[in-house]
Amino acid sequence: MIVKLIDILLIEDNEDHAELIRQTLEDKRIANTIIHFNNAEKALSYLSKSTSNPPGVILLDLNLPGMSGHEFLLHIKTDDMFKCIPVVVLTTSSGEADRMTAYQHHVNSYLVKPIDADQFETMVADLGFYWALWNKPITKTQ
Amino acid sequence: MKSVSQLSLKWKFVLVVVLIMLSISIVQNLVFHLRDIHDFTNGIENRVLILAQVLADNSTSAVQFRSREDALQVLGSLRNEPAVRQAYLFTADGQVLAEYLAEGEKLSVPLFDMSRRTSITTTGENIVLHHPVILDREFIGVLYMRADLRELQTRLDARLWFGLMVLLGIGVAAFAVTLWSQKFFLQPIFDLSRLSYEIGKNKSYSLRARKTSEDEWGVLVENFNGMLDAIQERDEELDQKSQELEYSNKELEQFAYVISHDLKSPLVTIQGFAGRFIKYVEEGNEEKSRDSARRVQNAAKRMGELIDDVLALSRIGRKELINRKSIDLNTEMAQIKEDLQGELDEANAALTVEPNLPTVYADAGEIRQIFQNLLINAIKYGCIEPGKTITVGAQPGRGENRVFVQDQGPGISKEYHARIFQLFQRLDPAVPGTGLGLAIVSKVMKSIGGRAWVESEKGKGATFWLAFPKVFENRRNRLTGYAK
Repeated sequence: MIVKLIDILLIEDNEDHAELIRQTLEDKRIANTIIHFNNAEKALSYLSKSTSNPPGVILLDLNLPGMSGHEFLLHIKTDDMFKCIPVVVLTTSSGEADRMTAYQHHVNSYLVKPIDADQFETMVADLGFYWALWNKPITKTQ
Repeated sequence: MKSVSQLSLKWKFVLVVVLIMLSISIVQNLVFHLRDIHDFTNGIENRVLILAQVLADNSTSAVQFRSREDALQVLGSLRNEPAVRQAYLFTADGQVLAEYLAEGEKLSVPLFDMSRRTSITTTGENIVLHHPVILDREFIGVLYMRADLRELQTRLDARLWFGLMVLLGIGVAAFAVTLWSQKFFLQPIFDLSRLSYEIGKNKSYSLRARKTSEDEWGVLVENFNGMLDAIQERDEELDQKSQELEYSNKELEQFAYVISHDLKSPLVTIQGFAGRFIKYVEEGNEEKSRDSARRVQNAAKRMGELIDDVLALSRIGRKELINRKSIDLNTEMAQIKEDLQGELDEANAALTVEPNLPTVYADAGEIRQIFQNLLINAIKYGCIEPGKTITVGAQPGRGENRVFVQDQGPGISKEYHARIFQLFQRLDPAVPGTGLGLAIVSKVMKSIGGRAWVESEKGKGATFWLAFPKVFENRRNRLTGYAK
């Protein structure tokens, strides 16, 4: 399977979870470039430097040290430069308030990390296939 | 028309007083009136009787000599007595000798039995009188007189008008006096009524009634104010309780949320890497198997720490678990410094404890825990580079004793100053920790009526402040002062 490489920007403070996602995607041979940041501020500064090659999707954890996932999302979705980049929340929180806030801030998808290892693997694989293969992102920010 | 019960107290009072005054004066008038009638009637009877005696005496010669002229003259003197309408002088054989007719009266000779007896009969308005004319014990004639009470009627009419005027005067006076006297009798209750209306409407329990007199109203006002005191006190207590409840509800909500999130997080790691471990073992990838197993181990350890911290947090301020007493922070800090010497050496950091720490009233275990948390944070975040110093000292504040823990680390941006005291809020994912340390500090300080906050600027270190309430001087005055 030949897949056009798209960048996945992963914002995840839990190093174990980031590693789990990376290894799962590698297993499925979804040959994407994963760019990982453990806080939102670093991710923001990366985004502003890579306007000619924006990531195809941003995977965003909500509970982050410093700037929270919600704040990051609001920032991205109210900035003309970044608002077209799809953002998928990937969190352990299934709280109604978190979901409501995320959708109000125009999140593109909201996923809850399953505890079960098989489910986690399936979800990450589906996620990778969907955003890397089926979804057609923009190729440059305005 | 309004029924009496709907009238305001003011008008009820006026109505009752005016009615009482009017009834009294009507009854009084009536009694006087009846008395008057009786007295007047008696008076006229007496007068007529005396007149008759005088006339009978004066007319003896006229009757004896049957001189009509003399008799007329005698009777003519009756003109001075308007009550007498007619008078006839009879001779003993029943012949009319002379008559007297008041103005407007017609001659009508009465028929009656001649008798020696004197009689006076009052029927309705008429008084009829017979009087014998006697000369030397010999019955020689009769004087007949008819008077009426016409004069009484005139008098009574005048009296009625006068009575009505008096009645009106009394009514008006009673009305005016009652209205005026309300100032003393009813004004306090009007004030109370208005005040209670205002309190009911605005829930302003801090209002008080003004005491204007030392009578029963004064007592009422005092009791009313006493009740308001009690209500206000209870209201404030309730307010505080509901605030506490709201706070604790919010805390519980946040607690449940973060517990579900932060306890789930290591579980995801454990499950995920356990799965990968099996996979790598099957593949014979020794290095990756080891890495996965290590991650499972660390996540399980982190969960254990989390549970310990959550337990510690939930125990704060529980009355059955704590024993508050006065603690000399100087002694306590020496012990804590000793306990943390290993961590300090490892980070190549120094801890300076100024000798002016206050004595505080708290649970020793909780105090040790919050200073440990603050110092471990200072080591973890503030002593990343070697050779840094952490300072613990004190400053007096208004009504409180302030203690600080200062580091020379990278500092904390202002926007995170409040957030870092909340549950599971961490600034650097690279630094290990559960995110509960400062939440525990904050909760302990709140439970003893104090507070905790941070002063810091990016790049200039951080100063964590703890404010302990000063203990009441009169109760524990020896425990409040700074150690010399």
